[in-house]
Amino acid sequence: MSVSLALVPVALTMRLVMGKENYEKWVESSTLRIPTNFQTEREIARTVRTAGYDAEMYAGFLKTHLNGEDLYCFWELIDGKWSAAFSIHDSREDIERFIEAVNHSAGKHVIGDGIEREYETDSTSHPEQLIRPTVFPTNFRDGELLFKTLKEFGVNPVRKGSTIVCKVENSTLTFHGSDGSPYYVEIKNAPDMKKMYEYLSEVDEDYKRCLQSIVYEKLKKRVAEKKMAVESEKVLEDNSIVLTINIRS
Amino acid sequence: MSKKQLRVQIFPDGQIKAEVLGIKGKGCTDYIAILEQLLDAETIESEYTSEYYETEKNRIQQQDSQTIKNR
Repeated sequence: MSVSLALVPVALTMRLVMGKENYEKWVESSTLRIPTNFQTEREIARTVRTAGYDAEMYAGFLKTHLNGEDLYCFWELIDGKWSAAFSIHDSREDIERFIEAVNHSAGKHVIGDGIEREYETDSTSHPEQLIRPTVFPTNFRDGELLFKTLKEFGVNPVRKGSTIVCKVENSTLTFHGSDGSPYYVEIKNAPDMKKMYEYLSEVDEDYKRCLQSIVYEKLKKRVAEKKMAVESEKVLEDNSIVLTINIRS
Repeated sequence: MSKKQLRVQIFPDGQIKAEVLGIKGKGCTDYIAILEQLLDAETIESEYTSEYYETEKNRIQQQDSQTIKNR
């Protein structure tokens, strides 16, 4: 063994468009933290459950659902103070109803102090959030593969030149891209950006799954063309495919 | 003599890891372009393995001893 490589198919732009740091900044700028007077995680769980909500551990954090699967918050301990972290796109009405129920259950005011200030801070410190972002970078570079993925997703994509348009519920998603440059997606009329982001993440996962099979097929074809031979191939537990290819001397 | 092989691992998220096996010294770098071509992919990271350094060290040692002999 003499050289080891990490490669990315040209059909994919992994984290090069948005980048991990920018993605985290985007998540951070979309977070609405509501301060609380809770002292312990146990106190949060007990009070929230008494108020009729759940409080379960998820990925190391206490998570509470407000309204089915779509509206939830995480309880975060920052600088010794507990706060409830929502998305700025979550329904303010539902959040206020939740705060009222939790305070009622605690028998005192434990959450919601300064909520008006939080909303105001969000609007003034991130003025761009007043206008919802409508254009996002993507990892997609291969128009054919993107079209196939969207079609398999059942959203009836339509091609207009190098642009791909599809409708998801009442929103219109337009994917723009050209000459092998990464596509970006423009979202019009999105009632819930969080949901839309989750949807795009699913398309992203499917696109990558299709890509794995395309890379595999292409590799086998090209190996045969170059008169090399596949000595062995296997699928590992993590669903990666490993091929060992003999090189001609 | 060990076999000359390419080992390619394709992950479910589309990323790829590849290794050139049994090719000594700098000759293995010729296969970077071949792998990119076979996979339609771009290299984002590469590292030489211990065997590369081992064979390079041997080559330099051989060159040195040859130089001494010729003096």
